[in-house]
Amino acid sequence: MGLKKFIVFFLTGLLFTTIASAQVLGACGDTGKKPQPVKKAVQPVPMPQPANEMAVKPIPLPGQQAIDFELPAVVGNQIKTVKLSDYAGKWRVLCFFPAAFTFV
Amino acid sequence: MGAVAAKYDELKKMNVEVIAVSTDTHFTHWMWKKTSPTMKNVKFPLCGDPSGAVSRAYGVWNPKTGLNRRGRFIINPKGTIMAVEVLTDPVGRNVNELIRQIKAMQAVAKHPGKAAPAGWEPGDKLIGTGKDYIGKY
Repeated sequence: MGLKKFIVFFLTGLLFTTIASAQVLGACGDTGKKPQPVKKAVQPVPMPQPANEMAVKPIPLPGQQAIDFELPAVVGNQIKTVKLSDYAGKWRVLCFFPAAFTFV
Repeated sequence: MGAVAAKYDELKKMNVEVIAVSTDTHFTHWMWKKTSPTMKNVKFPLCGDPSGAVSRAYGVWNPKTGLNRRGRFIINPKGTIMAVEVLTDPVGRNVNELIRQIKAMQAVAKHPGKAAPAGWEPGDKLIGTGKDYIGKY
């Protein structure tokens, strides 16, 4: 029962507070001051258009030169920077895959 | 990855290096290698491309997932792209087909003017190309 009573008291209190503050605000409106222009609602910031560097380039086709790159990598038990051109003179298989812990 | 690792010695003998790239960080790859039994034997580089810049340059970055598609490029010693394969996410690759394709490319590179016909397997004869061979296959 205690909880029920508490909720009833709380809600009643909330209601009175709301009415009271509305009256106070209303009274403020009657002070003869120029009504302040209502500020325009803040517009949500639109999603930024993908910058050029976010554009997905067309998949390169056979006959085109492979684009060189440099990325941090795990090689055996080491962490080092790997460049595609590090392996120039070899055949290379460049395998892109979604994420670790998936099959390749 | 495990399948490629199992064939890695054969690929090495063929003068092939494998470079794997995902949109995870290389630290994730580090832990993957530590924890997965199939990954323990992987000797080839596992690159992290968390910004996706390299993956976008190769057209395989999927903006819907922020992850890479399964894209595979065979690149010859001069840096020319020789083959491209992009698979749907839930289907894995076949390392034997990869080896077959590279062997065919290497055979053709050794014998200019020859071609490896459909279904060519290592050890099969290459065929001639040019006007004398029109309609012969």
